[in-house]
Amino acid sequence: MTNKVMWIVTWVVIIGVISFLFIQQGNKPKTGFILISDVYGSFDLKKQLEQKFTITKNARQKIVDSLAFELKLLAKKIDAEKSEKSKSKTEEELYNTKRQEFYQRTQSFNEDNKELTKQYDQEILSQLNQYVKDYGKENNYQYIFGNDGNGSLMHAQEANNITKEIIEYINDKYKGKK
Amino acid sequence: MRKGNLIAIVFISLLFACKNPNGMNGVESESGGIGNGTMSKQSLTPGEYVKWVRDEQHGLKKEKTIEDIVFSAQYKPAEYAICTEEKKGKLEDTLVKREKKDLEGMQYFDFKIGLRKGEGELLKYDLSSKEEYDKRVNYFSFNMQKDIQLVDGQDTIPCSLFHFERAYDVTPNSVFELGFAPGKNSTGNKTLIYHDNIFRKGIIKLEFENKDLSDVPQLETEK
Repeated sequence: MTNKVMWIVTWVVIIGVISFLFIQQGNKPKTGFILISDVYGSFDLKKQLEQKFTITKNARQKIVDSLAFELKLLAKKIDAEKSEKSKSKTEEELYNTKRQEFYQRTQSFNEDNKELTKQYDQEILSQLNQYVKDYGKENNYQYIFGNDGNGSLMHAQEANNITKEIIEYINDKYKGKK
Repeated sequence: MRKGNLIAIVFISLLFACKNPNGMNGVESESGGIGNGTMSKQSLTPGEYVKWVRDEQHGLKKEKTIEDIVFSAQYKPAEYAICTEEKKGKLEDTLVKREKKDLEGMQYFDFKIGLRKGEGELLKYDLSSKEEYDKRVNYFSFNMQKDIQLVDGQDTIPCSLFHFERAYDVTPNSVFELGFAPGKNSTGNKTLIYHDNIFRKGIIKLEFENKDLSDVPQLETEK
């Protein structure tokens, strides 16, 4: 009987110690790193905004292309009329107006495209940063480092690479699932 | 020895069950879910009904925080809309039926944008000029509607009813009442999508699970 009690006590103590160590380990703040380019490139919001940007950019390009085509036709017409010595003043004026419109549109579209890229980049980074922060809080990370190959993170054990987990997490968060 | 092993196994199991916080939450939410099931068969008074729908645990209210801005959406069953409109402790059956008929054929949401800190004025938050303020008011009042969609199962539905509840700068949040036509196949989840062009937080998605939307309790009415 005493023997049995001893066994039970020994087991309880052993399990208690193991559990304590396990809990300690679980509560210990962790450190991880992510490959920023992989996370950024795999973020669904980035892909979606990239598509949106391409659509807008192409639509703008179409307008510029059609203006350029109109200008070409007008220039040809004016050239032909020059050789026939029956040059029309109104056509030359029209050409100048169109040319001005073409330059103005091209310049304004380029600026708009730049502004839109900047806006979308800001939107992507806002959500990306927030979701990585949320992941860190939820999973008890003390630090999550970003490796972007610029030398800020020189060495890290592969076991601490949480890129895959982060990608899965941020995409679920973005979809509104978490 | 065998008894000792048995005790050890039981002890370890208990320990793991207590330790894993995710596991615990899972159990809680599952039991909550079961509770919901029971609740759905119950009839709730208007006050209880409103409280139930607004309780985030029941999945009809979703929230997302991006940096300093909080986006939230409240799915509004017809009965909820009637309760909040009437603001009465008891509702007559005929009135509920009549108003429900008026609301039929659409799905309603309240969409809210607020400041995380809960203080300040959303419309004036992070402003660079007076023109920007006017632009915001104009956008919220008229142009925001086109940036809102509802993915209902396989269908993407544009926002067909839109109303900006102006609080005249006294609250840190702005509320938008939204209405969408029903999807052709409304058995899937619903995702409310908004592309935030004002605070530049990107495309905001809030997903509502179909099981939560169909698991709403009944409203208690008076004959």
